[in-house]
Amino acid sequence: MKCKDDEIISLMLQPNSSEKGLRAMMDTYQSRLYWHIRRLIVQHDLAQDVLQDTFIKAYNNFSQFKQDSKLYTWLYRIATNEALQQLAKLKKMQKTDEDAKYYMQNLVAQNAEHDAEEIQVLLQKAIQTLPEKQKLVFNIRYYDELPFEEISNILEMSLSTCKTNYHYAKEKIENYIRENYES
Amino acid sequence: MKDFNIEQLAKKTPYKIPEKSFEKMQENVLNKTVRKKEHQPKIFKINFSMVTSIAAALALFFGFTFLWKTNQTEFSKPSQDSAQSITKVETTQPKPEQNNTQNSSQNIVKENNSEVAHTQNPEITEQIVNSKNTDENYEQLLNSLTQEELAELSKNTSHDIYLDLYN
Repeated sequence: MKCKDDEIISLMLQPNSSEKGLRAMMDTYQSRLYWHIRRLIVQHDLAQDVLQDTFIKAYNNFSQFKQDSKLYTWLYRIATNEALQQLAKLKKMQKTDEDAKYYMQNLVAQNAEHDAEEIQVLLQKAIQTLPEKQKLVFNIRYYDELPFEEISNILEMSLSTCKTNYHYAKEKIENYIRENYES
Repeated sequence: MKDFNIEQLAKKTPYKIPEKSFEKMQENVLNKTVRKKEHQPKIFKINFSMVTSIAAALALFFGFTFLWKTNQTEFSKPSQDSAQSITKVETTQPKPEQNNTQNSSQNIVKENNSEVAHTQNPEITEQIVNSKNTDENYEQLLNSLTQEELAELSKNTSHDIYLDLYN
C-alpha cells in the first residue's frame, strides 16, 4: 500500500506506529529504490542487500531527516551512497578502472534476461562505461524522470553540473549504441 | 542506427527480479530494526562517572575498614601481655566512648564470672566507665583492687616465664 510522504513521516515519528511507518515507507519506495540500485550494481543479490541497508539506515536515522526536503530525495541519497560504497568494493577487486568497466559490462550480459532486447542490454552496457557522476545523473533523470532540481538535491551537485553531466552521458550512450548495435 | 535517439527508446530494464524478493527484504529489515528493539534485553549502561564514583566509594570503604582494623589490633597488642582478666576487659573496649565502655565493661564482668568475679564491685566498674584512656583504666582498676583480689587474679593468669623473671 502506497502512502503519501506526510503520512509516512507522521507514522515514523511516533514510537507506537514506527513499524507501520516503516512498512508504509518500504511499500511506497522499495520498487523505485530497488531499480535505481539494481541499474548501478547490476546483481540482484547485492542490490537487495543494499536496499535492505538503505531502509535500515533510514529507520535508524529518521530523527536526522530534515523535513525541508522530500522523503524520497532523502531515501534516494541514502540508497545512492550505499550503492556507491558497494561499487567501490567491487572496483577494488579490479586492477584498473578499465578492468572495472569490463567487469561491470560482463555482469550486465550475465544478469540480463535471455529474451531481453539487444538494444536494452547495450544501453545498460553503455551506462556502465560512464564516469560515476554521469552514470548517477543519467539513471535518475532517464529512468526515474526526476527534475534536475531534485537530482541536484539528491546528489548534492549544482543544477548546471547535473545538466552538463546528463548531456554528456546521453551523448556517450548514443555513440556507444551506434557503434555497437548489430541488428 | 545513425538517427538513434535515446529519448525515443522504451524505458525498460533487461533484468528481472525474483518473486517475493521485496517480502523477504521487508522481513529482514523489520527483524533488524523494530523487532530487534522489541526483543533486545535491557542493558544497564554504566557510564564513566558512575564507575569512578563506585570505585571511590569502594576505596573509601576498604580504606576505613583497614584503618579501623589496624587501630583495633594496636589496642589489642598490649592486652596480650597483661593479665587475662584485664585483656578481656580491654578487647571489649576498643572505643573510649563512655556509654559503650559502660555497657561493654558490664557485659564482660557478667561473662567472665570465674575470672573477674571480684570486680563486680560497682565502684570499680564505674572507675572504668569514667576513664577515657584505657591504660589509665587498667592502672586505676589495679590500684582499686585489694591485695587479696590481686593475688586471686594472679592465680588465674597463665604461667609466663618472662613475667616470672621479675618476680
